[in-house]
Amino acid sequence: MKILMHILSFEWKILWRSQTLKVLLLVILGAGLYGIYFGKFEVEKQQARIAEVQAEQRQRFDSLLVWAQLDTTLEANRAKYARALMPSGSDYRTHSNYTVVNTPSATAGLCLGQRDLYPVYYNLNITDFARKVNTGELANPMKLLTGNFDLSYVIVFLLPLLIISLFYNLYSVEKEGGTLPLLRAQTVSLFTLLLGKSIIRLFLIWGVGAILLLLGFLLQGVPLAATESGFFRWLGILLAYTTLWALVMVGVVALRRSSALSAMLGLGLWLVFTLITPALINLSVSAAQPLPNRAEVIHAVRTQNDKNWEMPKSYVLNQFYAAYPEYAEVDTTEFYPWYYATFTVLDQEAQALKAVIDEQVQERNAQMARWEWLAPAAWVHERLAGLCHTDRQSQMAFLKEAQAYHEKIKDFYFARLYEGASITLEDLRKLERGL
Amino acid sequence: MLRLVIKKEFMTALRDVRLQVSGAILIVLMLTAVLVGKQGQKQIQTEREKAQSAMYDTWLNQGEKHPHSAAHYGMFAFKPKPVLSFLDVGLDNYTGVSVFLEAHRQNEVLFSAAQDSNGMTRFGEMTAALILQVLLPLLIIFLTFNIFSREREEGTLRLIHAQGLSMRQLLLGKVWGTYAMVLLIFLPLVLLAYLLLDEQSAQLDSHVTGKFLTLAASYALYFLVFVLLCVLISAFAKNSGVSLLSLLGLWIVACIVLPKATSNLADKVYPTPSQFEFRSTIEEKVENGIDGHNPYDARLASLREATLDQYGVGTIEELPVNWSGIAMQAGEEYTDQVYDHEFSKVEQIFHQQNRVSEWAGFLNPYLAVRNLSMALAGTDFRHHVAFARAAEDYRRAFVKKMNKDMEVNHTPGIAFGDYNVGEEMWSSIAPFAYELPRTATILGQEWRSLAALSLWLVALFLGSFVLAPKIPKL
Amino acid sequence: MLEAQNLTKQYGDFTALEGLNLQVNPGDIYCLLGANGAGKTTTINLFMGFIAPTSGQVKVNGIAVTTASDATKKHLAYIPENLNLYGNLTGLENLQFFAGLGGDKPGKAKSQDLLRSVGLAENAITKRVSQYSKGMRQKVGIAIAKAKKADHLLLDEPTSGLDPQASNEFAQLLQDMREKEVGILMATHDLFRAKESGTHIGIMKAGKLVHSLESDDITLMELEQLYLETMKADPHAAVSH
Repeated sequence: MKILMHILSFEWKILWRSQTLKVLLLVILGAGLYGIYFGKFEVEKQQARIAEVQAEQRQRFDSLLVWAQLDTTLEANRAKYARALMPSGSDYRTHSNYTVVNTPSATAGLCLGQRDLYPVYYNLNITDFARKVNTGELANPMKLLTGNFDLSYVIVFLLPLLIISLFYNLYSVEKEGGTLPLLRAQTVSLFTLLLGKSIIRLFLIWGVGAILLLLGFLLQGVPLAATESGFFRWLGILLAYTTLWALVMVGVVALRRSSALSAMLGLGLWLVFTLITPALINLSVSAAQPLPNRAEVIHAVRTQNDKNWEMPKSYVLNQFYAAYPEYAEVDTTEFYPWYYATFTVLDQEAQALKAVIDEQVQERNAQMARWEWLAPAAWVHERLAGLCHTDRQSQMAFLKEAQAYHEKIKDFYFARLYEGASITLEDLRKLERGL
Repeated sequence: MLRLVIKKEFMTALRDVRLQVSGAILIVLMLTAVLVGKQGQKQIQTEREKAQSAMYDTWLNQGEKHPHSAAHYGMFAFKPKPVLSFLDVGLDNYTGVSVFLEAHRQNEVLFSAAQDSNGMTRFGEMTAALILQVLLPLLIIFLTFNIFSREREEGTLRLIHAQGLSMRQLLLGKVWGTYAMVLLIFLPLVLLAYLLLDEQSAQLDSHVTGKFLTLAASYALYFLVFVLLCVLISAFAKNSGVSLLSLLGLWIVACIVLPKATSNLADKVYPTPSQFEFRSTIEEKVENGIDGHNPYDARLASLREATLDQYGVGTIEELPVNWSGIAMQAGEEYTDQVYDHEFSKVEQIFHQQNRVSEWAGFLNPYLAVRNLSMALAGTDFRHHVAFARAAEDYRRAFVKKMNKDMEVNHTPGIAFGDYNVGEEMWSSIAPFAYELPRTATILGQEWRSLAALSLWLVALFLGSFVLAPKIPKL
Repeated sequence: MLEAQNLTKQYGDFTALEGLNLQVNPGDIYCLLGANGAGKTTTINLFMGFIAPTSGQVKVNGIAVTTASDATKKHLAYIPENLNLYGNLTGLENLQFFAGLGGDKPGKAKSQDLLRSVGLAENAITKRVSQYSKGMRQKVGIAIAKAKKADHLLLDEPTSGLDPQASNEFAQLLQDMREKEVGILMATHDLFRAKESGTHIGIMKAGKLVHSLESDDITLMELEQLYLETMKADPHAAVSH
């Protein structure tokens, strides 16, 4: 133990005096800071987009509240008044929209994950849900392809490179530097010496990683202690991942090859773990299982829509009553009760098909995830995205939430529409508070 | 003498066990990527063709209905999976694959593969492009990092110099010798990929052979640039270690860090507008006019005046044609105009963003070859836009046809439900077909990347010519 | 005491060392002469336990190196042909590091004394080793050996590449150690230095110890004569003592 401490203290001196190390540390810190800054910038952009739609939502409510109090003796006011207080709206093409937004989590800026692929909000109304979510967000596909330079990228891709550069010549530097014979003449074993050198490097890496993480949390204003921040989970993953890389490099060093070959081997393994394996998995899955055609859902909706309008009204209403038995007594001759019932039928049709497709997609993703352990970088990135709620699962959860919200909107309107009641000012205020 | 050096370098590389192993790994990877990739491309394309024709069938068999209802019923356009996407998947996983075409609305091209995949997709797909752009340069580094320093450390450099070989000849010999080795690894891939271009490929893209050969040539150019760069750096590096570390550092920066940083930076310099902003601007301009002083009601009123004047009647009811058809088509065209205006603004921003990486090709040859390769493979942003435009033009054409029919044939007096058309009308709309851009068009658009690669090549040859005599011999 | 008994080392078909018998007692300076590839470095490497013998015995103070390499290393100090140290550390720090690997790190004052005692200039002690000459590094090497208080010192061509003055200083240091009853085994090409410093001289050829004699028994001229004749002779001729 005493000898190990001795080795540690001297190895630290040697490391600390090397210019290369200082440059490398500066580079990784610079990259980390840029990543943190970039992540913050991207999340702020998402927040700005959310603020934009929320402002519009606010404006809509303000209008509704004003319209609800308009003088209906004036012809010009009637449509607006109806829009605000009639559950069927002013006419069958105009509906009040309600916005549901996917607010980024506190740590979303540390791992931007998959959020850039999906819209941050949906506008929903009393009509169908199926077509409302067929929107995307404007994004340059080139940027989506090259990905985000965030802190998780620095940790998953660049930190291993630092590990490789610190470890590759652990043994060969002694051999090529000529200090090996003298070392071997000492009673201490080469193993102890290399162990000491590895430990000090591992500590250094851990330190760098922890500093980056701390900076990330502090600069993005995430309280460390809060349980939802997941700081300690981040730290745990970081420590495990860097240790894994250190072990890989110890394996490379154990081969006792020249510095040049060890560096190439290390870099080769880096490529295998971060690039080649995930790319091969992606290739095999995309060749073996093409994605199902989601346009089928749109097709199902339009076909159903055609049918709804062609068939006698009972066709729609019977299906509607099955889903909403409480409204089975409504007047079947009126237009609006039938009209809004058609959307429920559309959604049912779309939902059934979507469930099948989602199942297939899920299966395909499970196939990919089954091989994830072969690509530790992908595994770690997926876990970090999970911690920050920026992975695909979180998007799916948001979709579910949006669907539930849509149900609430429908319930609100239907309760009045099918009971023949109108919306009150009080109701509008309730809507404003978020149902 | 030059041939002697080339042969010596080539043979040395060929006999190096480490290079044999890494070269073999690369070749196996490439062949796998090409074979599996081609199979995947074929399968996806078959599925899309099937979906496209199935959807066209539903259009033909939609039954008797009013033409405007048919315009609402709509059509679909599926993006063909470009033939050479099996060599370079490019943006294909991040762009939508199909678009629903209907009256009144410009829908987005939806359902990108990335949206339906977990985070693993973001790590890229193993295609020939990935190997050729990223991995092969690494092999070149492996081949060249000590090509000079070893001779210097072992003293053979002085010996060679004493034999009267000029440093220029030696440098060129090493360059061509290494390049021959690179081509030896590259050519089997080219051959295999060429053999895989089957009938379906030619059907999908009649210019595919030309594109393929240009693509192969661009890569050959890129490798030469990389070999020259590596040999030059190796020639002036203090020792093998310094040479290796600087080359690897360069590789990491050029192939891993810069591409990401470049497009991130481009997005900062030319901020992408939000979908919300885009959609609400269109809505607003359709409502109030492009210039803000020509509201919908006023436009409609003046159209009515003009139509009434044209037919010399006083009221809508007296018109011999269907007023709704005319009004709808006019509305359609106005929306199109607004949409085009706004869409081209967004497109312009994306082009500006992408141009940053095109210009960056002059600093980083990796970016030049990446852009060029994507464009030739038909998987770049321009191809996506070309498809989106073709689909939108198709939409406008068939919606216009429906509106025109309604205007002319659904004469006043006939109730909405009483005027219907059928299959004869539906089949007058030809199936959606989209022709991929020609090679010359692509090269014209990608001139920056081409120029960047050529400039790199010329500069490096000039550089070696000037610098070679200064190569340290000790 | 260093002992080699019928020591043989083969690399495949090639015999690097054949039937070597050798003994170095405390206070001896045994110099091994011979052409490159004669087996000098192999001998030293066998004593250090860097390589294992094909047959025969190597012992340090009666302990077999093959069975207890770590135990014998305590008694051995070693200076390789090209003594390289950590360039980023000072001479003092290098000494402290290497000496500390044995378990007890010498204090600063003691280390400085050691470095002074081997003749390292005062201002060099706290300079980084990357600025040292080879002679200066050799001196630190001796200091490391002295710090170890080992009773044997093995040197592999320590004076090659040293200028005459440095070489002389180095020989002086060896004499100091000999007086402290350290047994020294040194491989060298330097006949003059072997005759001057050595108490015993061995001449090796093609893996065999051809001559072994006390240096007092021979003059420098005779030694050179003997050396040249040995090199010329048929390698398979009978071994004479």
